[in-house]
Amino acid sequence: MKNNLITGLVLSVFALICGLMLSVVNMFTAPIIEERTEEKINNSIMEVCEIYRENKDTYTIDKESITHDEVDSVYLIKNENGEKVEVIYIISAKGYASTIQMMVSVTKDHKIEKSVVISSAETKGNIKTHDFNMEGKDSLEDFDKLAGSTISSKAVRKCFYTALDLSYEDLK
Amino acid sequence: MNKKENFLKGFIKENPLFVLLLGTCPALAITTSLENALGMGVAFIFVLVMSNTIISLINSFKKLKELIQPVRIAVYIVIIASLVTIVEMLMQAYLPDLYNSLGVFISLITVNCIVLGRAEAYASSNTVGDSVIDGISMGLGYTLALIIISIVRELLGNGTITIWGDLQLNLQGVFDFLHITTISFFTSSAGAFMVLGIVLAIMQAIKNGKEEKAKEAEKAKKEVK
Repeated sequence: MKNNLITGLVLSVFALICGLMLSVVNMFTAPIIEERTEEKINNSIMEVCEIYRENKDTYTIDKESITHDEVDSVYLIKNENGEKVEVIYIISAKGYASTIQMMVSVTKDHKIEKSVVISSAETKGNIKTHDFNMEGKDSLEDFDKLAGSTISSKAVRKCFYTALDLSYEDLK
Repeated sequence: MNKKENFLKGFIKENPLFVLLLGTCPALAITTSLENALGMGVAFIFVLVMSNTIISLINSFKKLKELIQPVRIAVYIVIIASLVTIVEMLMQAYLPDLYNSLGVFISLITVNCIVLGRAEAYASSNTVGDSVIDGISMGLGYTLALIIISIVRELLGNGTITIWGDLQLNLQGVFDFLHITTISFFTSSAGAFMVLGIVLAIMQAIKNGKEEKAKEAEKAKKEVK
C-alpha cells in the first residue's frame, strides 16, 4: 500500500514538472500562434470580400456570435445603415489526409463570391489553388471537383453547401 | 563500444529505419518532400536527444531509479510526450507551414518505437554522455534514412527537390530532356513502400556481398595455413 502511494506520488511529481515546463513554453508561443491565426484570417477576409476590401470606411465587419454545428466562425459585412450585405463563413470538413478549413463569402443574393482554403495538409493535388468553379454560383450544379482527389473534393463541396444553405438564415 | 563507434552505429550498422525497421509509419507518410523529411528529422533529433538525456540523468540517481522502477514506462512516456508537445508548440509558432505539412505525425513521435526503445534499452542503463551520443547518432541515422527516401520519392514523383520553403530544385527540364515523365505513383503510400523496399534490398545486397567477401577471405586464410 505504502509502495503504491509512493509510486503514484513519484508519477504525479513528474507529471507536475512536465506540466510546468509546458505552461512556460505555452506562455511564449500562444500569443505568436494567436497573432498568426488572426493575421491569416484577416488576409483571407480581404481576399474573399471585395466590397470590404474596396470600401473599408463604408462597411463594417463583425465577428458574429451565431453558432452553427458545421461552422467555426461567422463574419457579417454590414453597410453604414447596419444592413447585412454579405456573410463570410469559416467552415471545416474532413478531407482525405487532414481537416480542410475554408473561408467562403456569400453575397446577399445567396451567391458564392469567393472562397479560399485556409488550411489543409492534403497530399493529392493542389487543393489550395484549384478553381472549383463556384464563384458567382448559387448552387452546386457546376462544382468542378479536383481530379484524383475525390475525398478532398467532397469535403470542399460540403463547405460550399453549408455556406449556401446557412446564408439564407444568416442574411435575413 | 567506444564513443566513435557509439556515434557511427546509428548511420548504417544499427540504422533505426533501414536495419531495425522502426518508425516506418511516419517515414512512409511524411517523405513526400525533402523539406518534410528535414523538418521531421530535426524534431525527432530534439526529442530523442532530450529524452535520452533526461532519462539517463534520472537513472543516474540510484534512489530515484528505484522509486520510478515500477512506473518507469509511464514516466518515460510523460517525459517524451511533454518534449513532443514542446516541439509541436514551437513549430506551430515559428514554422507554421511545416507544422501544417507534417500534421499529426509530429504528435505521433510520442509513440515512436525508436524514442521509447532507446530510452528503455540504452539511456536507462548508460551514462548521460553516452546517451546523448546515442540520441544524436540514432536521430541523424533516422533523418538520413528519411532524406534518402524523400529525395527519391519527390524527384521521381514531382520532378522537384524542395530543400526548404521556396528553395526548390526544379528538375522537370531534365525529365523533358530525357523524354520521360514523372511518376506520381511515388508520391503515394504505395510508392513509399516500394522505395523503402528497394533501399532495403540494396542495403541487404551490400551486406551480403561484404559477408561473402569476408567468408572468402577467411577460407583463403585457412587454405594458406
